[in-house]
Amino acid sequence: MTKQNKKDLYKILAAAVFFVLGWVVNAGEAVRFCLFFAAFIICGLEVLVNAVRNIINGQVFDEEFLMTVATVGAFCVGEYPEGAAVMLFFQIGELFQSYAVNKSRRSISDLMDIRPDFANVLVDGNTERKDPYDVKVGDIIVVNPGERVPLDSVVLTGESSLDTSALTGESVPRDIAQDSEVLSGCININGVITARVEKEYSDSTVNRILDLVENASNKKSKSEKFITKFARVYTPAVCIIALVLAVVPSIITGNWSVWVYRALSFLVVSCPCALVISVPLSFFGGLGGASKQGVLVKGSNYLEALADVKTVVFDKTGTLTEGRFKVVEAVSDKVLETAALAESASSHPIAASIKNAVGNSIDTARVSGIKEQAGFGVICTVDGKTTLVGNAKLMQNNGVTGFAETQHTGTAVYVAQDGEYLGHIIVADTLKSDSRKAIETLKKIGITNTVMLTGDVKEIGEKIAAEVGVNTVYTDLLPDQKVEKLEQILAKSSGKDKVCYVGDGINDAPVLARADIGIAMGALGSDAAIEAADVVIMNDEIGKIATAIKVAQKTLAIVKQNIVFAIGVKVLVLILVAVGHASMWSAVFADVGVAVIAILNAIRALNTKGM
Amino acid sequence: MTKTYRLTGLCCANCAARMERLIEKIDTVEEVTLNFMTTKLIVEMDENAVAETEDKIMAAIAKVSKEVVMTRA
Repeated sequence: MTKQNKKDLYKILAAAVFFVLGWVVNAGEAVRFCLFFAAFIICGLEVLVNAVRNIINGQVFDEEFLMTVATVGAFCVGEYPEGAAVMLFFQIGELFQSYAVNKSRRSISDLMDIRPDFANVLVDGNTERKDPYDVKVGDIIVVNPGERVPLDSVVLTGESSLDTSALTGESVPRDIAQDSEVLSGCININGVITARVEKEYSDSTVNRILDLVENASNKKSKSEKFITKFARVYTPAVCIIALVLAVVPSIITGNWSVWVYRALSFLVVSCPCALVISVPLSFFGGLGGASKQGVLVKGSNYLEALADVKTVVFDKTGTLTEGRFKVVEAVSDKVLETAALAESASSHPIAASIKNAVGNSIDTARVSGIKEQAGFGVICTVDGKTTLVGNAKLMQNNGVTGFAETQHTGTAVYVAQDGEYLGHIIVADTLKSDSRKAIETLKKIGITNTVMLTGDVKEIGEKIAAEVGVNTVYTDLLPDQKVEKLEQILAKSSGKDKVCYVGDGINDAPVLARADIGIAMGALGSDAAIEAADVVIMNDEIGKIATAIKVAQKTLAIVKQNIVFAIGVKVLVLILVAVGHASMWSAVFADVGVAVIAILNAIRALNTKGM
Repeated sequence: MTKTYRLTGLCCANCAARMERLIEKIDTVEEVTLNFMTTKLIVEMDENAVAETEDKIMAAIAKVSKEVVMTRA
């Protein structure tokens, strides 16, 4: 609690004592009046003073003015308890509101408490503690266990594990050694490392992320704009109705005190605060909750749009798949080993995948006379035997005996020695382990349409699509055709249903930009991806798409509940008050009670555990 | 040019909305965003009239609330 909050709390407590006395003490009218009036003045003096000042400034219709008119009016018509109660509850509501807002502001800044305070810079063999802003590119820094990496850098010496959870929401530590890239904001867990600074602080990951999160709520959602507009009309409208209510029926019936009392109750309900505060508070909570999960949403408007997503379009390579070739099948270890030896000098991605599959144990002394035939494969000598490793054409051209083409999808590599066929290896880009489950989850949360776009040939594209479970697949697409396809999908999607596109943000920036919402995967450390997308997923987990949509759906549900609940209760109470079925007490509930409930509901948006 | 300020003591969302509307009306202000939750005020203004605009913004804020203090962020 802030100092101001505490002061207000004491005032409220003191006022409450007088208020209770006013009820309990069985004394004459004059004593009761004094007790209630004391309670009123203790908690309401500031409001009265502000109201008078605002009127002098030409500001009417603010909440302090309304409360003043309502409470002073209540005293005038002889309803002391109501007058005091309205002021007391109004102050309790204000206190609670201020407390809740501060608390959620703080919880977001705690959440984003990833700003490194210092950097240990190596100067002439000694470390010096410097402000990260003062460290230059090329400086050598030392990061001790438990410390935060202050700037994006590359490890020179030392081995350790990094806790990246603050950036990615990923709980498994990342191992680092010499030449590993380390990103600012991660925490060094166990070993001391020295590293060379690659980026200045202002360009470093941690600063970019903080900027992004801080500025996200600047982009206002439609609901926020609606509610501010509504508030602008609502308060004057209720005040005018109150005035009419005080005068017209009174003249007709001659019963002034009844109708003035009802009009005053109207004023109590006319404050729009509950609404105006709960909507941005919910979005703020939702944005913060999402970033806790490693999902950065760049604006409240995008969070709002995410909740209406019905179609998710995926890029294949690097998004649903690993984006790297891997050996998925080899007829025998001998075939694999022979191929690895033959490919030992090649840097082709397929060669790399075969070498990876056998590990580091390649004895290059066993190979000689390597000749690469572009478009076919490799011819060389392994253990004194003439060896062919390559595609079907290489086998056919050299008249290999016993050769038969395999029908597996993926890229086939054939191996033959001394003119005799040994077998094949299948190399393919494999699905990420969580892709299938991620698509299933999306379907469960109401994403009716999942689409995959790929530049791959039809048979590979369709096989992957079937494996992962997307509804539709478009293959053989050149980069610009991906934009065209997306436009067709956008045209088909109706009304307020949104289409989001998920890519790696590197090759597909135009497609990201064209979609209603562009989501970049695995964006940690990629500035281009962070720039191009509306929603940034820091790690490689495809399941985070569903997380982002779930957080958005929850936030929007809360926003809708609050809008309907607050407007509903207020209108209901206004009607009841007008026909004389509700007192000023229920008006106080409609104002303060609704505000408190709406704020408590809004704070729920911050909780994204297990989503 | 775009300038960012911090509003300390901003604790009423409706006040923030009213301040935003008043600032919007200043003729040297092109665009304004007042973010109630982060208490940041971002104003796109005529770069030839910065001091003058700042005074007008402060006056607009004071009109709504005397407790809010504006500082450069």
